[in-house]
Amino acid sequence: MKKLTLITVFFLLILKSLTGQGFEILTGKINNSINSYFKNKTEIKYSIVKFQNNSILTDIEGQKFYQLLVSKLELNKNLNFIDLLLDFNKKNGVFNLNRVNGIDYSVYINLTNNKNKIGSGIVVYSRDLEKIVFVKYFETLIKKGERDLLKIKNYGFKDSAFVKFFEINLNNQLLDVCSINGPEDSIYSIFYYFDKVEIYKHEGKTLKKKITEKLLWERPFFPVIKKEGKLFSLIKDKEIYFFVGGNFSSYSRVFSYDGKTVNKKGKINFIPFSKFTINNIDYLAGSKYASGKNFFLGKIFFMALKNGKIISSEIFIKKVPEFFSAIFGKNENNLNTFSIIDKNYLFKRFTQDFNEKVVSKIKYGFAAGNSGDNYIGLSGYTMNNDILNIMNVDHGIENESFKQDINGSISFISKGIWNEKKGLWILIERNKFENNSFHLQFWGRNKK
Amino acid sequence: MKKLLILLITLTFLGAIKEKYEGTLNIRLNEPVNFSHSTSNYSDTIFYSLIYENFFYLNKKADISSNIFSQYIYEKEKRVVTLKLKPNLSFSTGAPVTTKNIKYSLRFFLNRDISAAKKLSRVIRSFRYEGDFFYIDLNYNVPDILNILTAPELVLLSLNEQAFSGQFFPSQWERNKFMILVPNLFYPGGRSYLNQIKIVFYDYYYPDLYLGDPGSVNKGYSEKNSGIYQNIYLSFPSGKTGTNTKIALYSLLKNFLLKFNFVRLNSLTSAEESPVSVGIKKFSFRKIRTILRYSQIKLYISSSLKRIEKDLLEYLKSYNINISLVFIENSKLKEFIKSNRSVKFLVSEKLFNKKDHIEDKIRSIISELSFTRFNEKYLKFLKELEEIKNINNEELLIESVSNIVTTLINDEFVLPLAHKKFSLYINNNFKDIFMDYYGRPLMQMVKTK
Repeated sequence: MKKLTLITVFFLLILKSLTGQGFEILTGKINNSINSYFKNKTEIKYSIVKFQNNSILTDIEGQKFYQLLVSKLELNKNLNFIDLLLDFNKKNGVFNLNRVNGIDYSVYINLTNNKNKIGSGIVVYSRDLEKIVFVKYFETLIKKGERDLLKIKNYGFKDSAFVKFFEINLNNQLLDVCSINGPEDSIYSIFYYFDKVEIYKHEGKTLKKKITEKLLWERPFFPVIKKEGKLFSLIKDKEIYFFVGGNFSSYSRVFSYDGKTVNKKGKINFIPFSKFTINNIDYLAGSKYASGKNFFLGKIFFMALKNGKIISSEIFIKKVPEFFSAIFGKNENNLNTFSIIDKNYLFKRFTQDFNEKVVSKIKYGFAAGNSGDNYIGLSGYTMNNDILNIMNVDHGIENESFKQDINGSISFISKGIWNEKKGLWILIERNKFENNSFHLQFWGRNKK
Repeated sequence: MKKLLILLITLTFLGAIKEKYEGTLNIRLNEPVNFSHSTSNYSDTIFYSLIYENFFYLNKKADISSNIFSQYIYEKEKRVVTLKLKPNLSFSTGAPVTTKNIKYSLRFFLNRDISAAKKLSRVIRSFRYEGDFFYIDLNYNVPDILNILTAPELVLLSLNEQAFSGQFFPSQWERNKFMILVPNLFYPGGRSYLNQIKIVFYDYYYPDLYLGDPGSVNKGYSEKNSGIYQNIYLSFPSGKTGTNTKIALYSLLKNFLLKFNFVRLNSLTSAEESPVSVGIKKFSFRKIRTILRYSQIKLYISSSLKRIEKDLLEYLKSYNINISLVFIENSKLKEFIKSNRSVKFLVSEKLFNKKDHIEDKIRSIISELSFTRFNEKYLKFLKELEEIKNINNEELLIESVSNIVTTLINDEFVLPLAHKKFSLYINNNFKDIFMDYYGRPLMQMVKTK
């Protein structure tokens, strides 16, 4: 009986900590006051352009506060809230002020302390910060337990977060894999080896091989000690178009697959990583390996696609540091963020204009990829067995959400689909008695 | 427990960190005369292995391997070796490697005046090519033909002298000072991790890799046993010289070499493997001077021994002996002596790997140092050695080698002067340098630590 009472009390405490607490109250009050101020106005666009955390809240706690507030502001369908946050620097928000021209009102949030309470001042400015139109101050008690809860939330849902759904052993070194919705509304996975491409159709929890296409490379060809490659696919006219390239070739080959046959479609002189729209023009963006080496040149190539056709003459290049892996973050079809693992194993995030914004304080491994549903996977910087780090990308900011020790070395992490779940394909290489073995795994969120 | 530990270490993995492409490795070697492939001394063997790729090589496990051919088969019944060229290979200039280059390289090798080439010449009836396939037809069944093709002198050559097949190619050469080699992007085995190799031809204090006497203690360096030794011989190509002069010159040169880090050599190959010890009584200095003082000797020396020139001249001067020295380029040595029958005295060197069979070493001495003195007797020796090798009778082999060596010495055919073993010293800042069967450092996987 005593045990049951204790459990009940503990459960009530947890419940209390999760509902209606300080953060919730404070962000709720700010949201309500902003909604109340704008209630008679229609089709207005507004953004937070300044966020200062002068309170005892830590950097992470401040970020959580901001995310909670934004999630509320975005819910109001009558108002058009545009999130301009790029990053947090020394507890304060960093915003993309190049985009303020398009907004009607700017919001300034300042977090302060008042004895044991956290206060929040809100100032709303009209366009171009000409005049202050609204000022409000709220404060509330935020207990240490609630703050701690916010911290553990990052790591506290391991069982319901990323899990391994699938694993197969491969005889040869797979260079890359990708999954895509293709012909007949089916999901296909393309396995890219140095000398062939295998296309599989997903049938429930099994993969059915549909076709094998041999790859014959041409000069200039760079023999390499360790082959590396990258595969990218897109859908056009109900056909899968895929691009394969590697550190052994100065170009990538292009193929299409209509559900029956694979057709050669030529070659382009870089390996695409992503497709998105800039100023209503579609672009393929990617990079090239340094010839015969194990990293990419510090250049991002953008090639225009007009009416679905590659316009080889329309290429522009953005310079970035040399890198091992790159992740293009998209919002709808627009480039949102661009991140790399550079040659010093640092995670670096860039703005849409390719200005370096964030550099990780810790090192990661060379493999990185995104899942297509706000998660990115990064391998570990380790000389022993590898680590799979999963980060949740929330409003353009990465938060570590999951870590898993891996037996072996992660060769690549790529976007995948398995059993209608978005996730990550991970190739693990193990060395046993001087023989390497390869294991392809699919990891995804275990949400119900 | 120990076994378990080994198992655990083996099971742990490859490394989640990528190799870096960086670093300059400094090597001290003798300056080559040109880029025309030559392996007459150990230094050249190393140098040319950096810029030319062998058809075949023996890997760490001593298995035959190739970066050039994807397929190499010997069909005993047809007596045909079939080689298939790997696709898309290029020389350092980007020019394609074709089976025409294989033909050119093989012909170049077979025309060389070295025992390995002569041995292969006798075996090969013809060769032909079709597309990426190259066929070598043999005169008779040679089960170890692929082993014979691992000769370090059999390398992939381009018709263009500025195109190289090795891991590196020369980008800068300052005569008497240094040469810079840079990685060949198209190297068939995969581009090197190093940014460059600087070969210095002068005494550069502590290069990262150098040849030295075994057992030298150098902090920060690891010693690798190269298995290579160098013998220096005095031979008499024309044969028209009095015995006293021969022995006097032999004594003089032997005394000189022993003063300069060489070791006494009393056999034609090495003391460890030779069944016969050569005992030639040296003359006293007085007698040497008396015989040689007014003899007007012209001593021919192979160019790879150029480094002894200064010391030898000083040595001769100190004993007031007038001998003029003439250095001849190694690659032209044999041709020169054939066309200059007046050459009476020649000092040359030969490089041996201790792993090679003694009968092969004796064969190469007879073939390469006999010049115009080669006659039926020596031809008989060569045949005898070939037969014995096939019989595989150790006792008979020792007896035969003893007879041959004794005859060669009695004929005053060639006299062994001195020898030197080599160790390779490698800076510990570099890792993954391995030695191949021929005592050459394999640079492909070398990286900075």
